[in-house]
Formats: sequence, structure tokens, C-alpha cells
Amino acid sequence: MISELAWSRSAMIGVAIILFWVFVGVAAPVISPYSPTEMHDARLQSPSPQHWLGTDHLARDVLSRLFWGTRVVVALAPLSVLLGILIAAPLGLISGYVGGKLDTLIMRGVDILLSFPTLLIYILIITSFGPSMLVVIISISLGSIPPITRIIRSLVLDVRTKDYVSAARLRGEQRRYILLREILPNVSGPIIVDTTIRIGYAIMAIGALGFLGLGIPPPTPDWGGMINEGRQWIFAMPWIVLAPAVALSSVVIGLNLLADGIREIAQQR
Amino acid sequence: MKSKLLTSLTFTLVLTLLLLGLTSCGPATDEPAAPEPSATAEAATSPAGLPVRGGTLRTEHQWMPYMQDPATDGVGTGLVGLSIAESLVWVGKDLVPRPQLLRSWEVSEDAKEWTLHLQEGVTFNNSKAFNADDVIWNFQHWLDPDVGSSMATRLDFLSPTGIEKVDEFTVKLHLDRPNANLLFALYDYPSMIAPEGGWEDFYSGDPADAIGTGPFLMESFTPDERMVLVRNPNYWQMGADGQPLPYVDKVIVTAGWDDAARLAALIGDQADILAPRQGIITELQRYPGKIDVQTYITGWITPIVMRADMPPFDDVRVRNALKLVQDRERIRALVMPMGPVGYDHLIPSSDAAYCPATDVHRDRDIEQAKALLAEAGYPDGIELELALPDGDFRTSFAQVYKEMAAEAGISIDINILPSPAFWDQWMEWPFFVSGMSGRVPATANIDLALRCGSDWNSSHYCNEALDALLDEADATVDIEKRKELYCQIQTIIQEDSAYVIPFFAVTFGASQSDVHQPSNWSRGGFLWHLTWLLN
Amino acid sequence: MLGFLLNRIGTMLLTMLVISMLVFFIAEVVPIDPARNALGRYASQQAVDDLREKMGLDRPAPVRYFNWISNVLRGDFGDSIHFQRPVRDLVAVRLERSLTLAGLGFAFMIPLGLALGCIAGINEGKPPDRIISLISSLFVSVPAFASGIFLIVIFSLWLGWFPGVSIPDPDASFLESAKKLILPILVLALDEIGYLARMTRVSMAEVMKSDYIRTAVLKGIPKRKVIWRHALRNAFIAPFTAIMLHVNWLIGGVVVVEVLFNYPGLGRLLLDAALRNDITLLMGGTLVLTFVAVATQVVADIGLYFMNPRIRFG
Repeated sequence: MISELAWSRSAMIGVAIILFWVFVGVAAPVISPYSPTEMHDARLQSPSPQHWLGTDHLARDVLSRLFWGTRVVVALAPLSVLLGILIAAPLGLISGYVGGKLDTLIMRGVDILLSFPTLLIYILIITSFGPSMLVVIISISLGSIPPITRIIRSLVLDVRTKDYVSAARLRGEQRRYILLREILPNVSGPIIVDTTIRIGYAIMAIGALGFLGLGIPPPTPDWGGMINEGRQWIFAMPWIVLAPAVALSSVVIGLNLLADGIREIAQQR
Repeated sequence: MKSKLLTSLTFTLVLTLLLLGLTSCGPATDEPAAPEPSATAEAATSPAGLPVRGGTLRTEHQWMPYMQDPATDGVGTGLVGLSIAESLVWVGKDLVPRPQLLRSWEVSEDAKEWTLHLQEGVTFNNSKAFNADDVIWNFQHWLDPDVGSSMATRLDFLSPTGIEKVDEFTVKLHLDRPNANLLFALYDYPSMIAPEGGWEDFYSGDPADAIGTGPFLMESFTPDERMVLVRNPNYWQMGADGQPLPYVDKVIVTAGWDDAARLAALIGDQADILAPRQGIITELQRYPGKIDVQTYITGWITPIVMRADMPPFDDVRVRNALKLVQDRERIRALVMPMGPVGYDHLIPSSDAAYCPATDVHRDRDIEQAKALLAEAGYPDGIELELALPDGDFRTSFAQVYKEMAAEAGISIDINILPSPAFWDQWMEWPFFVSGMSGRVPATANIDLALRCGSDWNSSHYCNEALDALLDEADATVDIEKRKELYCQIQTIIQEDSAYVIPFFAVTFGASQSDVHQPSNWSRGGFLWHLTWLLN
Repeated sequence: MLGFLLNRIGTMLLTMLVISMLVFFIAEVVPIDPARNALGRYASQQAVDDLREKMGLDRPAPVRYFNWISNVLRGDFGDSIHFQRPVRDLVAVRLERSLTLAGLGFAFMIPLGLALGCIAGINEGKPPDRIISLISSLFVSVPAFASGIFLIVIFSLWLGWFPGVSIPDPDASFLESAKKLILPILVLALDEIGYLARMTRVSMAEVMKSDYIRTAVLKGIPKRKVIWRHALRNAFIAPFTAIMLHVNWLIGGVVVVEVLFNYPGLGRLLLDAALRNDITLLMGGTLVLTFVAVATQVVADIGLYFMNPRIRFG
């Protein structure tokens, strides 16, 4: 699979960007020049040899905070999406394969939830239960479930009529076997593409929530939170805001490039 | 059909590009003023000659929620409302009460009898004459427990039965206990004077409902957004030129600003007086001939408070350990760089109650803090949860304090709550970051916050010796004797109470250089009727 | 056809009902006492209890829900706890402002996005396509709050062309008001334009390869005419409705933009209401906003139905 990715230039660039940030996230304690909460001598310093991205309003090293903030993003986003898939996949598979009343019921529910503006859902949930990592993860996975269900269902509908599925049914295989062994592997391609893009959405959502003050509470470094806190210092030291904004955008760009690349490759096949 | 599609598409594209082009060619006034001090710029502190009349003052006030009864104001819409319905006195930067609707006053030797003489010949803006009946009605209203006004707490030394009408323009107050500082309570933001019988709905937005004696009339009010005031042509006070105040024709007060907007508006001449936060102060100071920056030290504090009646804070050693971890200068530099350093008593050095002789400037001492904790039974340190409302510098304060306390083995978990959730139970948190606006004199705050059983005693601190000293100080009219008592009060708070106060919060003002503001700019309210625009 | 319309509208009503229950349920979970919230810290407990009774807070949840819903259907959304004014009035004013912002953003973005997508789709694989695709990917990946901040720093602070304030001033001239809106509109447009360009490109490229087009070319019609007459009409359908169905994303963008520029629209009102636990306002406002979203989707659905002959008869 990885070697196939080499076919597409977009995919390679995307992978490079993503791997870079994953590395940063994992290695943050080692590669950060300072601790993210340590307060140094002077606040709001411009970039200098001691502080490559300067210091923030509490005299903390911006670069270290940026690196540490990667962990939140790199961990929470895929986690939320995976959690969403865990719940959405069975729903979508069953709905698409079994059809009938169950399908109608599930899809009705999905449609209703899809018509609710996602950011509003997040705001409602987080202001009711208080911002914390757990609440953010749950909100975002809840928000991902309807669209993922829908996509999986339509993929299943596509595949359901294929020969190998009919063959399996004629063989007398169990429904569960058909779903897991015949259908699921054959829809995995588009699902991977969608998941990649959805992780990008999750990252943007985490950033937006942090920006609105509904994200991970301080002092845990978080890109969205850095932008929220740093907004009032934009004139004194714009890097507090610019660095996480650029970082966030680059991760999402990487994910989108990867998704594009995978799609290209699938088309070549 | 297809040509229609083509033409409409082209038309929209062209229109869009046209709009883009139009708007990017802004007129010259939008360019930032060159940051060179101009030799011809007017100095804002002392204009030559008589005041200039006319013009519209554009300013801001962030907290303008609606409330039905201004006496229940807990947030500050009244700071604007006071320009429409005045208070009995006003207090300037020098902390001296001055006549407004009160012409003069006398207080008895034992500070239990106050005689208030009202201004004569003043009318409300609905032509009703102002007299003692109005004043008495307002006092009764403030003291009424069903109304729920904070004035009741500020005037808790007065009962409704102690209010006596002497004649049409004289009122006598017989206090339950002595209080020499009565007048300061009469200038808080809920202290607008209503006509007898009260207002139906002062902030309804309908000018006819906003009855008052003040220099301005209400033109419109959109809660939390915008209030517009226009000149009251029949105002009773005269300006320096012999004509009735105010000098400006109109005041537009808007909310919803943030620092980016403020900077842009001041540079672009879109506002006259604003209240910036720290973030843009250095930036604003780059325009010396164009923008003036003022710092207001108001005695506003955002202390860390502990429940003195709950373990572990009921042990004074723990309390003092928590005070010893502070590097005050450092906290101040990071959180409130332009504010004065605080030393855990709530008395600002500008206040009459401040006692320099007994003020102990305790430095950071981690070893001592650890020792105290060990003595109190926590040799391995202690774990605490700190609650605070979200927004502004309290978050910064909490983070900085947490870092500093960690070195003494005090591990703090920061719990940031949305404002309503926090303030809903602010009297119950064990360990939290609070807030209290400066009051003059500082003893008013001490009364409210530290007396046994007081309504606002969020630390549930109770020290009978302190209460006795406060009573004595209130009753003492002789200034020297009172100062001695204040020294003792200050020491008790510093050594024994449950407050951690490393700095006093300051607020800032920024105005265009062509705005002349009175030099005695009032802390509690905005003296727009004494302001004029030099253009 | 009538059946289809009824179906859609019926679904819409069902959706709104379920959402109203969801919103009510979430509001229930919040532990803040609305009466205390309304009266403030200094009010006596007696006054708070009286207000609780008046607000009917002692009655069981289903009863309160029913009361609320029946009032809503009559147009009464209750009074905001914080503003102490009818929710309906507050929401109406703010909704108008948000719709203005969103509408202008759309008007700005649609012609540009469509144009970009067309050019890319027609020239699939060639340099114009590559460049436009790259730029679209970029726009899609930069979130609204990030691009907003970049734009404010560049255009408001460094260049000083546009104000950083977007607080509407009824006394200001049209040009001044227009200038205040340029940056927020730009941010909104940038948020959506990448998505629209991509969708248009994809459908345009598909259409270019379809038999339908090839036949027309073979028939001898000049390529340019073919593009204009046939391809455009077909290619526009999908992205247009895709945008309509994308309206939830747009609402998210509007909230962020309103916060960023201090624009007093419905998005900011709801965020503030949520942070203040102003339950009545939050419930009423969310219902209205969701209704706008749902109604837009239904309109898009109906529009798609009419515009696409294949669906109608297929």
C-alpha cells in the first residue's frame, strides 16, 4: 500500500507533512527546547536565537508550546474519528445491507442529525458539560457519526449487488461473514479516503472550538487555545497566533493532499 | 437561454470585480496616521481658552445589559445611566466626594447623624421638581430587601426608620451604627436617583421612560450593544462659558469591542474614547500626538481566595504558605504589568486607609512555605483545585501562580468555568480566583468582604478583633486616630486573612488628542458632560 | 410531484420536532438555576423562588417541553434570561444581520468559485487546472479563524484599508458600512470558495468527457459553443446544490467570523447565550437557526429535483 502511494506526488507530499507532525507530536518532550509551561524572563519577545518563535504573554516559549500542542491535535482528531467510525460502521453496514424498515429508520435519524449545524451541536454539548478532552472527543465523534454512516451505507449499496456478494450468499454464508469478509474489505478504499478527510475536519473543528474558548482548558498547550489567548497580543507578537494557524493549516493540507493522492491512485487502478 | 446565462454570469463577475475595486480604493482618512509627534497637535491636558460646544462623542462601555430596575444593577449599565439620572454626589480621582444633587452635608461628631441638604431648583427631565420626597423614596427603595439591590449591603448601617424628612430640601439620616464614609456609598453604579415612585422601565429604550436630572437624555438603548445619549437642554449645572452643560451634543456608547477593533478605530478616527486592554497599550503609545493613553488605578482586585473555615485553609500556616510562593513582581510583570504590586491586604497605596508603616513586603520564600506546610501536617506537599471564571487575565494569573506554587510542592489543578457557572456559587468554592471592584474608601470593601457573616464574605473569614476595629474606625471622626486603627486593620488582613493579592488591576483609557477630558476623571463614572471635542 | 413536495416538507417538520426535543434535552442537563441567573447574586432567595414558580420551573420536564413547543408554534419564544426581552425580537434583528453577511458572502463567492472551477474542469490536467486545484486545496484547508486573522493583520493593521470593526452603525454612510463588511465577507467567501471550485471542477470535467458533449462536438458545433451551451448548464447543477447542502458548514463559518469581527449576528448571540446559560435564548435561537439550515436544504432539494431531468424521470 505504502509503495503504491509513491505513484502520486500529492500523496507523497501529504504523507511527508503528516509524518512530520506525527513525529513532532510524539517527540515533543524531547525536541522542545523548553517546557511548555515554564515562564522565562521576558514576555512577548520577538523571535530570537533563544526563542525561535519568541515568547508569549506569560513569557513561555512559543515553539515549545507549538510542539506540545501537536500532541492534542495528533491524538484527539484521529481518536474522535475512529470512535465515530466504530459506531457508524455497523450502522452503515447494517442499514445498507439489510435495507427495509431498519434502513429507513436509521437513515431518517441520520438525515435529521445531518441537518443540525455541527458547530452548534459542539457548542451546545460543550457548554453544557464543560470543556475537557473527553467532552471534545465525544462531541466530535458524535458529529462524525451521521456523515460516516451515510457514506458507508451508500458504499454498501454499491457493493451489495456485486457478483462476489451474491456468490457468498448462494454459498449460504452468515450475514455477519458477508459483511465483514466480503463487503467491508471492498469498501475500505473509499472509507480510508473519507476518514483522512474527516480527520482534517476534526482538526479544524478542534481548532475552531479552541478559538471560541471551548477547547482544551489551559495550561495544556493547544493550537486553537493559543490562537484564542494570543488574539489580543496580535500587535505585540503575532507569532503566538500565526504559528498555530500555519501549523493547523499545514496538517489539514497534508491530509487533503493524501486523500487526493489516494483517490488518484484508485482511479489509476 | 444560453445567452441570458452568459450575460448574467458576466454581469455578476464584473459587478463583483467592480465592488472589489471600489472598496479597495479607500479615502485617505483610512490610512494610519504617521507616528510622528506633530508640532501643532493640541495638548489634551490643558486647552487654551473656553470650551468648544457641539459634536458627537463616540465611546464604549462593555457591560450594558438590560435590567428592569437600575437599583438592582450588578454589572455596570448604571455607569452610563448616571449621565441620565444623576446620583447624589460624585467622587473624583482624588477620592473626595463632591456635591451633585446634594448641595452640602453635615455629619455629627459620633458619625451617627447625617444632614443632607439638597440642590434647589432642579427638575427631572419630565418637568417634575426634585425635592426631599424623591431622595427619601430612593433610600427606602435601596434598603428594601424585596428589591435585591446591592445598595442595601452598602448601606447596611441604615434602617428605613432612620430616614427623616426635615423640610422640602433637607433630609436627616439616623444611622444604626456610626459610619463616616456614607457618601462613598452614594456614588456606586446602582445609585441613580429616581423620581418618587420609581421608574417603570428605565432601560426600555423609550426616551420617555428614562427620567432623571442628568445632563443627557436617552435617545435609544439596545442592550449589550448601543446606547445613545443626547444633550438635555434644561440641565441645571452651568459650564465654564455660562451656558448649561453638557458641551457635546450627543454621546454614542457601543459595546462589543475587542482590542483589534479598538486599535483600528482609534487610528482611523472612528472613536473618541475607548477602554483598551493591555495588549495594545504599547502599540497605542506609538501615536503620541494623536492618541492619549491614561492608566486608572481603581483598587480593583482579582485575589485568590480560600475558605478560611474549611481544611486545609483553616490553618493559618497553610494560608501563609500559599502567600509565600508568590514572586509578586514577576506575577505583576506577566499578568498586569501596569498595575501596582499588592501585598495581600486589599488597600491600594492611594487610599486613605493605607498604612505604609506597618505594610510588610514579604518576598517569595519557598523554603519557608514548605516548612509551614510541613508544620501544618503536609510534609509532602498538597494538592488543590483552583476554580475561576473564564475570560481575561484571571486565566493568566492562575497559570502563573500554578507554576510558582509547584516549586513548594503545591500541585494545583486549574478549573476554568463559564462565568455564570462560576458566579452562581462563588460563595462556596474552597479555593478560587475572585474579583472585587475598587471601592472608596477601601474599608468599604473590607466591610463587604471580611466582616463576620457579611453577604460578600466569600472566604468565610471571621475575626471578631477585626470587626471591632472596623466598628471603631467607622465611628472615629478624628483622622489621626482613624489612621492608627487602619494600620491595625491592615496588619490583620495581611497576616491572617485568606487572600492572595499580588497586584491591583488597572484599567486603561485611550482617547483622541482632540478630546478634552476633565483632569479629575471620575473612577466610578464617566464625566461626559464635562468633556468637549476640540474640532 | 406533489407527493415529492409533501414528502420533503413532512420530513422537514419531523426534523424540526426531533431537534427541538434534542435542544430541550441538552438544556435540561445544565445545572444552572435560570431564575438565579436572571436575578443575579444579590437577590433574596424568596425572590428567586417566586421567579422559579412564575417560570414554571417546578413542573416536570415533559410538561415544560410541551408548553414551550406550543408557545413556539404560536410565535412566542419566551424571554431571554440575560436580556429580559422577547427572544423573538432579539433573534429577528440578529438573524437579519447574519443573513446579510452570509448572503453577501455567497454573492461574492459563487461567481468566482464557479468561474475557477469551470476553468479548471475544462482544462483538466493542464497548468490552469493544476494551479487552481492547488489554490482550492489551500483555501479548503485553512480554517476561517486562521484566514480571518491573517486578513485582519494584513488589511486592517498593516495596510489600514479596511476597519477591523464590524459593528453596524445606523448613522454611517453606505460606503462606510460597506467597508466594514468587506473583510468578514471575504473570510466567509474564502472559507467556501475552495469547496465550490473543487466540486465545479469535478462535475465540469465529468461533463466534458460525457457522450453528450462528444456527440455535440462530432456534430460539428464549435467547441466554445459546446461548452457554453451544454456543459455549463449541466455542470452548474451539482455544485450549486452541493453548496446549499453545505449550509451547515457555512453556519459554522458565520459563527467564527462573527466572533472574529465582533459582528453582532445570530451566531455570536447563540455562542454568548450558550456561555451564559441563557437557556430560553439558546433554545429559541438554535431552533430558528436550524430551521434556516433545514429550509435551505429542502429548497436545494426541490431545486435539484426540478433542474435535473434525469432524476425527475429516472
